[in-house]
Amino acid sequence: MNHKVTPHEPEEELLSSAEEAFQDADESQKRWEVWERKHQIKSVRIEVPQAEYAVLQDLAQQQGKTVAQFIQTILVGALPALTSLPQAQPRMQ
Amino acid sequence: MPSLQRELLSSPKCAVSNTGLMLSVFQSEQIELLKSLYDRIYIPASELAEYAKHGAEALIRELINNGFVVVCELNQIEKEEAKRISEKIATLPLTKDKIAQNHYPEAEAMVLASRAELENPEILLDERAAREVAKAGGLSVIGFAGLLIRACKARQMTPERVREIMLQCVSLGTHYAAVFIEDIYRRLQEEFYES
Repeated sequence: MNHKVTPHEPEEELLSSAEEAFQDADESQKRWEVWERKHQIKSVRIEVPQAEYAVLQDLAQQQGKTVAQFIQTILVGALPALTSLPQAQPRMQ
Repeated sequence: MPSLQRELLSSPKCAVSNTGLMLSVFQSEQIELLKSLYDRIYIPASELAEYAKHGAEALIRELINNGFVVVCELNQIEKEEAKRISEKIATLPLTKDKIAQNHYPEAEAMVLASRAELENPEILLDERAAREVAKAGGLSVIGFAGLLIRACKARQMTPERVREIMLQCVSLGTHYAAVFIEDIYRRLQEEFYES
Protein backbone atom coordinates (compact mmCIF):
# COMPACT_ATOMS: atom_id res chain seq x y z
CA MET A 1 0.00 0.00 0.00
CA ASN A 2 1.39 3.38 -0.99
CA HIS A 3 0.58 5.92 1.73
CA LYS A 4 2.12 8.83 -0.15
CA VAL A 5 -0.42 8.86 -3.00
CA THR A 6 -3.49 10.94 -2.21
CA PRO A 7 -6.85 10.27 -3.89
CA HIS A 8 -7.94 12.19 -6.92
CA GLU A 9 -10.85 14.65 -6.68
CA PRO A 10 -12.39 13.33 -3.43
CA GLU A 11 -15.58 15.26 -4.14
CA GLU A 12 -16.05 13.58 -7.53
CA GLU A 13 -18.61 10.78 -7.80
CA LEU A 14 -16.97 7.49 -8.75
CA LEU A 15 -18.45 4.45 -10.41
CA SER A 16 -20.60 2.75 -7.78
CA SER A 17 -22.61 0.19 -9.71
CA ALA A 18 -21.26 -3.36 -9.49
CA GLU A 19 -23.38 -4.21 -12.52
CA GLU A 20 -21.60 -1.54 -14.54
CA ALA A 21 -18.18 -2.65 -13.29
CA PHE A 22 -18.90 -6.23 -14.43
CA GLN A 23 -20.16 -4.87 -17.74
CA ASP A 24 -16.87 -2.94 -18.10
CA ALA A 25 -14.91 -6.13 -17.48
CA ASP A 26 -16.97 -8.31 -19.82
CA GLU A 27 -16.90 -5.81 -22.68
CA SER A 28 -13.17 -5.29 -22.20
CA GLN A 29 -12.53 -9.04 -22.25
CA LYS A 30 -14.55 -9.44 -25.47
CA ARG A 31 -12.86 -6.42 -27.05
CA TRP A 32 -9.39 -7.82 -26.46
CA GLU A 33 -10.40 -11.27 -27.71
CA VAL A 34 -11.53 -9.66 -30.98
CA TRP A 35 -8.31 -7.62 -31.06
CA GLU A 36 -6.19 -10.76 -30.59
CA ARG A 37 -8.00 -12.53 -33.43
CA LYS A 38 -7.56 -9.50 -35.69
CA HIS A 39 -3.83 -9.30 -34.99
CA GLN A 40 -3.45 -13.11 -34.97
CA ILE A 41 -2.05 -13.06 -31.47
CA LYS A 42 -2.43 -15.60 -28.69
CA SER A 43 -1.99 -14.46 -25.12
CA VAL A 44 -0.08 -16.64 -22.71
CA ARG A 45 0.24 -16.21 -19.00
CA ILE A 46 3.59 -17.15 -17.53
CA GLU A 47 4.88 -17.10 -13.99
CA VAL A 48 8.52 -16.50 -13.15
CA PRO A 49 10.24 -16.36 -9.76
CA GLN A 50 10.54 -12.83 -8.37
CA ALA A 51 14.35 -12.81 -8.54
CA GLU A 52 14.35 -13.68 -12.23
CA TYR A 53 11.53 -11.21 -12.84
CA ALA A 54 13.70 -8.42 -11.41
CA VAL A 55 16.47 -9.34 -13.87
CA LEU A 56 14.01 -9.38 -16.76
CA GLN A 57 12.66 -6.01 -15.63
CA ASP A 58 16.16 -4.49 -15.63
CA LEU A 59 16.95 -5.86 -19.08
CA ALA A 60 13.59 -4.74 -20.46
CA GLN A 61 14.07 -1.28 -19.02
CA GLN A 62 17.47 -0.98 -20.71
CA GLN A 63 15.70 -1.55 -24.04
CA GLY A 64 12.78 0.73 -23.28
CA LYS A 65 10.37 -2.22 -23.20
CA THR A 66 7.95 -3.65 -20.70
CA VAL A 67 8.73 -7.13 -19.34
CA ALA A 68 5.96 -8.60 -21.51
CA GLN A 69 7.35 -6.97 -24.66
CA PHE A 70 10.87 -8.11 -23.74
CA ILE A 71 9.81 -11.74 -23.23
CA GLN A 72 7.78 -11.57 -26.44
CA THR A 73 10.91 -10.44 -28.32
CA ILE A 74 13.04 -13.23 -26.83
CA LEU A 75 10.51 -15.99 -27.48
CA VAL A 76 9.67 -15.00 -31.04
CA GLY A 77 13.37 -14.47 -31.80
CA ALA A 78 14.30 -17.87 -30.35
CA LEU A 79 11.67 -19.85 -32.27
CA PRO A 80 13.70 -20.45 -35.46
CA ALA A 81 16.59 -21.88 -33.41
CA LEU A 82 14.26 -23.97 -31.24
CA THR A 83 12.37 -25.45 -34.17
CA SER A 84 15.60 -26.42 -35.93
CA LEU A 85 16.71 -28.61 -33.02
CA PRO A 86 16.47 -32.37 -33.81
CA GLN A 87 14.16 -33.01 -30.86
CA ALA A 88 11.76 -30.36 -32.18
CA GLN A 89 11.26 -32.15 -35.53
CA PRO A 90 7.95 -34.03 -36.01
CA ARG A 91 8.39 -37.72 -35.29
CA MET A 92 7.81 -40.30 -38.02
CA GLN A 93 5.10 -42.82 -37.21
CA MET B 1 10.15 -14.50 -38.51
CA PRO B 2 11.64 -11.01 -37.99
CA SER B 3 8.65 -9.53 -39.83
CA LEU B 4 6.30 -11.38 -37.47
CA GLN B 5 8.26 -9.99 -34.55
CA ARG B 6 7.93 -6.45 -35.85
CA GLU B 7 4.24 -6.96 -36.46
CA LEU B 8 3.67 -8.22 -32.92
CA LEU B 9 5.55 -5.39 -31.30
CA SER B 10 3.94 -2.71 -33.41
CA SER B 11 0.47 -3.79 -32.26
CA PRO B 12 0.55 -3.23 -28.54
CA LYS B 13 -2.52 -3.49 -26.33
CA CYS B 14 -3.06 0.12 -25.41
CA ALA B 15 -5.18 2.16 -23.07
CA VAL B 16 -5.45 5.82 -22.31
CA SER B 17 -5.71 6.56 -18.60
CA ASN B 18 -7.19 9.28 -16.52
CA THR B 19 -5.25 10.34 -13.42
CA GLY B 20 -7.76 9.09 -10.85
CA LEU B 21 -7.59 5.46 -11.91
CA MET B 22 -3.80 5.50 -12.06
CA LEU B 23 -3.75 6.91 -8.52
CA SER B 24 -5.79 3.90 -7.38
CA VAL B 25 -3.28 1.65 -9.15
CA PHE B 26 -0.44 3.40 -7.33
CA GLN B 27 -2.20 3.38 -3.96
CA SER B 28 -2.76 -0.36 -4.15
CA GLU B 29 0.57 -1.09 -5.88
CA GLN B 30 -1.10 -2.81 -8.83
CA ILE B 31 1.24 -1.72 -11.63
CA GLU B 32 1.98 -5.35 -12.41
CA LEU B 33 -1.74 -5.98 -12.89
CA LEU B 34 -1.91 -3.10 -15.35
CA LYS B 35 1.15 -4.45 -17.16
CA SER B 36 -0.47 -7.86 -17.41
CA LEU B 37 -3.48 -6.33 -19.18
CA TYR B 38 -1.83 -3.68 -21.36
CA ASP B 39 1.45 -3.18 -23.19
CA ARG B 40 1.28 0.58 -23.09
CA ILE B 41 -0.65 3.32 -21.33
CA TYR B 42 -0.99 6.76 -22.90
CA ILE B 43 -1.62 9.84 -20.80
CA PRO B 44 -2.09 13.45 -21.89
CA ALA B 45 0.59 15.92 -20.84
CA SER B 46 -1.93 17.92 -18.82
CA GLU B 47 -2.19 15.02 -16.33
CA LEU B 48 1.46 15.31 -15.24
CA ALA B 49 0.73 18.19 -12.89
CA GLU B 50 -2.02 16.11 -11.26
CA TYR B 51 0.36 13.23 -10.52
CA ALA B 52 2.74 15.69 -8.90
CA LYS B 53 -0.09 17.21 -6.87
CA HIS B 54 -1.13 13.79 -5.55
CA GLY B 55 2.33 12.55 -4.58
CA ALA B 56 2.76 10.24 -7.55
CA GLU B 57 5.28 12.16 -9.64
CA ALA B 58 8.18 9.76 -9.04
CA LEU B 59 5.94 6.75 -9.71
CA ILE B 60 4.63 8.05 -13.04
CA ARG B 61 8.16 9.20 -14.05
CA GLU B 62 9.45 5.68 -13.48
CA LEU B 63 6.76 4.25 -15.75
CA ILE B 64 7.47 6.89 -18.38
CA ASN B 65 11.19 6.15 -18.22
CA ASN B 66 10.69 2.41 -18.69
CA GLY B 67 8.38 2.98 -21.65
CA PHE B 68 5.16 1.62 -20.19
CA VAL B 69 3.55 5.05 -19.97
CA VAL B 70 3.75 7.42 -22.92
CA VAL B 71 2.95 11.12 -22.49
CA CYS B 72 1.21 12.78 -25.43
CA GLU B 73 0.91 16.45 -26.19
CA LEU B 74 -2.33 17.46 -27.91
CA ASN B 75 -2.38 19.79 -30.90
CA GLN B 76 -4.37 23.03 -30.88
CA ILE B 77 -7.47 21.55 -32.55
CA GLU B 78 -7.45 18.65 -30.06
CA LYS B 79 -7.07 21.07 -27.16
CA GLU B 80 -10.10 23.01 -28.32
CA GLU B 81 -12.07 19.77 -28.52
CA ALA B 82 -10.88 18.86 -25.00
CA LYS B 83 -12.03 22.26 -23.74
CA ARG B 84 -15.47 21.65 -25.25
CA ILE B 85 -15.65 18.20 -23.63
CA SER B 86 -14.56 19.54 -20.23
CA GLU B 87 -17.37 22.11 -20.37
CA LYS B 88 -19.82 19.32 -21.16
CA ILE B 89 -18.63 17.21 -18.19
CA ALA B 90 -18.98 20.21 -15.85
CA THR B 91 -22.65 20.65 -16.77
CA LEU B 92 -23.65 17.08 -15.87
CA PRO B 93 -25.61 16.50 -12.64
CA LEU B 94 -23.25 13.58 -11.87
CA THR B 95 -20.43 15.97 -11.00
CA LYS B 96 -20.32 18.36 -8.09
CA ASP B 97 -17.37 20.20 -9.59
CA LYS B 98 -18.83 22.71 -12.03
CA ILE B 99 -15.50 24.26 -13.00
CA ALA B 100 -14.79 23.03 -16.52
CA GLN B 101 -11.03 23.56 -16.19
CA ASN B 102 -10.92 20.92 -13.42
CA HIS B 103 -12.23 18.34 -15.91
CA TYR B 104 -9.80 19.32 -18.64
CA PRO B 105 -7.24 16.50 -18.08
CA GLU B 106 -9.88 13.74 -18.40
CA ALA B 107 -11.26 15.56 -21.46
CA GLU B 108 -7.75 15.51 -22.96
CA ALA B 109 -7.59 11.77 -22.22
CA MET B 110 -10.84 11.31 -24.18
CA VAL B 111 -9.52 13.27 -27.16
CA LEU B 112 -6.33 11.22 -27.04
CA ALA B 113 -8.35 7.99 -27.01
CA SER B 114 -10.11 9.17 -30.18
CA ARG B 115 -6.88 9.34 -32.20
CA ALA B 116 -7.17 7.00 -35.16
CA GLU B 117 -3.64 5.61 -34.85
CA LEU B 118 -4.39 4.22 -31.37
CA GLU B 119 -7.01 1.82 -32.82
CA ASN B 120 -9.79 2.73 -30.38
CA PRO B 121 -7.98 2.00 -27.12
CA GLU B 122 -9.80 1.57 -23.85
CA ILE B 123 -10.01 4.59 -21.63
CA LEU B 124 -9.38 3.91 -17.94
CA LEU B 125 -11.82 6.06 -16.05
CA ASP B 126 -13.64 5.94 -12.71
CA GLU B 127 -15.39 9.33 -12.52
CA ARG B 128 -19.07 8.88 -13.36
CA ALA B 129 -19.63 12.16 -15.21
CA ALA B 130 -16.56 11.69 -17.40
CA ARG B 131 -17.51 8.04 -18.04
CA GLU B 132 -20.92 9.13 -19.28
CA VAL B 133 -19.42 11.63 -21.72
CA ALA B 134 -16.78 9.14 -22.89
CA LYS B 135 -19.40 6.44 -23.53
CA ALA B 136 -21.68 8.88 -25.34
CA GLY B 137 -18.68 9.69 -27.54
CA GLY B 138 -18.33 6.02 -28.47
CA LEU B 139 -15.22 5.32 -26.37
CA SER B 140 -14.59 1.98 -24.67
CA VAL B 141 -14.48 2.66 -20.94
CA ILE B 142 -13.26 0.52 -18.06
CA GLY B 143 -12.87 1.48 -14.40
CA PHE B 144 -10.46 0.23 -11.74
CA ALA B 145 -13.00 -2.28 -10.44
CA GLY B 146 -13.47 -3.58 -14.00
CA LEU B 147 -9.74 -4.23 -14.29
CA LEU B 148 -9.76 -6.15 -11.01
CA ILE B 149 -12.81 -8.15 -12.10
CA ARG B 150 -11.08 -9.06 -15.37
CA ALA B 151 -8.01 -10.21 -13.43
CA CYS B 152 -10.16 -12.27 -11.06
CA LYS B 153 -12.09 -13.89 -13.90
CA ALA B 154 -8.73 -14.78 -15.50
CA ARG B 155 -7.76 -16.30 -12.12
CA GLN B 156 -4.90 -13.85 -11.68
CA MET B 157 -6.29 -12.98 -8.25
CA THR B 158 -8.96 -14.20 -5.83
CA PRO B 159 -12.18 -12.33 -4.95
CA GLU B 160 -10.66 -11.76 -1.51
CA ARG B 161 -7.67 -10.03 -3.08
CA VAL B 162 -9.97 -7.83 -5.22
CA ARG B 163 -11.81 -6.75 -2.08
CA GLU B 164 -8.55 -6.15 -0.20
CA ILE B 165 -7.16 -3.97 -3.03
CA MET B 166 -10.28 -1.83 -3.20
CA LEU B 167 -10.31 -1.45 0.59
CA GLN B 168 -6.67 -0.37 0.49
CA CYS B 169 -7.66 2.48 -1.82
CA VAL B 170 -10.55 3.37 0.48
CA SER B 171 -8.23 3.44 3.50
CA LEU B 172 -6.11 5.98 1.61
CA GLY B 173 -9.10 8.21 0.90
CA THR B 174 -10.43 6.99 -2.46
CA HIS B 175 -14.18 6.76 -2.00
CA TYR B 176 -15.23 3.50 -3.59
CA ALA B 177 -18.54 2.84 -1.83
CA ALA B 178 -18.60 -0.01 0.70
CA VAL B 179 -21.73 -1.50 -0.90
CA PHE B 180 -20.03 -1.35 -4.32
CA ILE B 181 -17.01 -3.29 -3.04
CA GLU B 182 -19.17 -5.88 -1.24
CA ASP B 183 -21.43 -6.37 -4.29
CA ILE B 184 -18.41 -7.02 -6.48
CA TYR B 185 -16.86 -9.35 -3.89
CA ARG B 186 -20.06 -11.36 -3.50
CA ARG B 187 -20.59 -11.75 -7.25
CA LEU B 188 -16.96 -12.71 -7.83
CA GLN B 189 -17.12 -15.27 -5.03
CA GLU B 190 -20.16 -16.90 -6.65
CA GLU B 191 -18.40 -17.15 -10.02
CA PHE B 192 -14.90 -17.95 -8.74
CA TYR B 193 -15.74 -20.79 -6.37
CA GLU B 194 -18.52 -22.35 -8.42
CA SER B 195 -16.41 -22.78 -11.56
